[in-house]
Amino acid sequence: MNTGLISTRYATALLDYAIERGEQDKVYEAVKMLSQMFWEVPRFGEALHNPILSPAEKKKLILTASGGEVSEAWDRFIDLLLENNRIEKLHYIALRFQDLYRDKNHILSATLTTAVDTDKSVYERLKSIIAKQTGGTVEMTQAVDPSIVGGFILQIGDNRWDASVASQLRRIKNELKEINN
Amino acid sequence: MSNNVIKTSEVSEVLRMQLEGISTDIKFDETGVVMQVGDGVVRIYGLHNAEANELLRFDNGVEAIVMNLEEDNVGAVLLGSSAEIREGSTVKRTNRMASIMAGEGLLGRVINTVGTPIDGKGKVTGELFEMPLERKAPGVVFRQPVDTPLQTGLKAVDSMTPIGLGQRELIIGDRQTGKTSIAIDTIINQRANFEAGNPIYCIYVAVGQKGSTVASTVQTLKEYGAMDYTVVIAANGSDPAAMQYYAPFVGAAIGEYFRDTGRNALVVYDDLSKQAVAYREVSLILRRPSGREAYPGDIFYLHSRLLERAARIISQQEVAEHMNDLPPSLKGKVKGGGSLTALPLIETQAGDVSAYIPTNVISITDGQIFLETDLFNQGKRPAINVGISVSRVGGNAQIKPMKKVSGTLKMDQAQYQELAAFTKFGGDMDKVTAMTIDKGKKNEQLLIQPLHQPMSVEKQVAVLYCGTEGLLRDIPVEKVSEFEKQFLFTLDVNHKETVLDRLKNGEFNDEITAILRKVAADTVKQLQN
Repeated sequence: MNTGLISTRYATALLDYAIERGEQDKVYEAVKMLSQMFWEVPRFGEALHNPILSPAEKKKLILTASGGEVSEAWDRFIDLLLENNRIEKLHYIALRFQDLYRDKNHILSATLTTAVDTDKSVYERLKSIIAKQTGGTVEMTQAVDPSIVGGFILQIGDNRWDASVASQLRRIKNELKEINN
Repeated sequence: MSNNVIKTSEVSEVLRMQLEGISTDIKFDETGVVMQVGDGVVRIYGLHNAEANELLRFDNGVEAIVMNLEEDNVGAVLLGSSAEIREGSTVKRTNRMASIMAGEGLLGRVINTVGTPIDGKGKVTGELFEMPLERKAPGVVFRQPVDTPLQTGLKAVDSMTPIGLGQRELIIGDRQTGKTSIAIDTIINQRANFEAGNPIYCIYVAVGQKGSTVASTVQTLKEYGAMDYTVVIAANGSDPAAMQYYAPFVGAAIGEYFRDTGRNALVVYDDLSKQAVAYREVSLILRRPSGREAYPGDIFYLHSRLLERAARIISQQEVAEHMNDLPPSLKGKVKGGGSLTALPLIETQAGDVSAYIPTNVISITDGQIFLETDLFNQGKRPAINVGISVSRVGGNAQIKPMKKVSGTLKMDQAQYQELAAFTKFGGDMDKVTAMTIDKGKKNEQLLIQPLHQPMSVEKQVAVLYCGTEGLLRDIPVEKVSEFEKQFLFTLDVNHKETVLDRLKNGEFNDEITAILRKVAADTVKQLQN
């Protein structure tokens, strides 16, 4: 019930501390990589919940997942989490930190998913269009996912524009099923 | 393979038209990502603008309802299987509150909590209106006092704890004491109203029951012709806890559709104890703080807001049209004078009415019918304990003849039940006590009624008149049920217009009572031979 509250407090503390030390960009990169690890390697999240691993072992895992010994502020933060026994909330804290950092620096995070690799120029144009419309900087990532069959999925912040062929096919299938039932 | 049978709608032209008609509009969806899923609950990161009780949809079509709104994540309960939902799945907002599509087409159907038919008869037909599951109850101004009876067809209920249209009457008792039977008999008894053209639409909500039990209940309703005016909502034991939690709200929403369009409806919640358990399960998994017996703190509010929606709406059209919280789908279709009566059922453990949930619901409803295992086992069915059963609406929900006849019946029977224990001591009794006990025993026999045989109100009045006026003085207790049968038979054959029809219209005068006395005396004489 208090997950949101706790993760927000820790994320705010980390951001303020990193800014004080001038290391906020380095910490942001580390947290981004860590967040990606949580999605790509589910066992990493499970390992952090495991009571058998010692705090030192967990710290080693986290530092490896976030790109190595990169920032003093990040290092201390991990120690703090381990001491206060809040390491299970790390994923939520990481996501919240990214949100807070982006809000502060007016950065928008966008992801373009296509079925096949697109031309770099298309990608750059899209990025500049979004930047102009929203008036901030855009951090764009590209993903290739053949399962969407065709079209694209554009995710900007929380909003998603799903123009993929796969989801259109799915929608047609559901509506036909409804009509002909 | 039956999939190779070509349906008539699969003609190419028709398919092409359908494809054209499908909207392929693409729009921006607000999305979130699943962090945790398990036990019917999903925790989603993102969805900053999600509202409480909003419907969310996953990519595979499964829906969820938002229950917890936190700083950076949303807790939602799944209305379906979590089989294809994983960490990292995307969820999107639908911008709609949880609701059910209600209409005349639902009558005779069996549906689940999300409105999908589960009786194999295809889609629900006809015009459907979107009724929200959560809705505020009508305010004081839009109500009127309960003044019309809801005839259950059970002598014991209609005489001593009468139910009116718009009332909430709790049916409470241990397992296997006949709670569902009282509700089903009430539904069956509405057949006469349906045939006469002013139906009371019935909604039966089965929460957490066995599928086989629901199937046999539906079969019973079909046999007695009750399915023509009944909707059954089933959230069986194997359905996710969220579906069991929301099923009574679906029943209330459908009942409100009838209520707000000027019709009368009856909703039976069978039973609310299982809904409380489902809500407890969902709340504990959402990590909400638990209270007494591990129920969440707002368990009272759960039942009170559900039961407050049963009301009798004021007949004045101009006032009723301005009812608070009318759903947009009903604008322009509101008629005054409708009602929604609720019969919640609660199962007690070992007769303990002072447990948490039973005391909560007793304080909410306008009376209770308490069923006891001992009475049931002694063959006194319906096994109503008259002493502690009460209806706070009372005489206002009875027709004049019934009121006259059953005036002191409840108190007499309660007194008799107390005295009956007394007689076990043996010994001499004064004449008055002996007479009270004799009359009480015979009335008790009169009140016994077989399953699924509701009795019309005029026959009830006639039978109870004999009991309360002491016309059974001269026959033994064992012959009382035979007396009842013969008496009613004679009335049906010889005195239908002179007695029965006039009683039904609310007449009760010396002429009628004279005929009743004569027929009773004749029947007694016949039995004595």
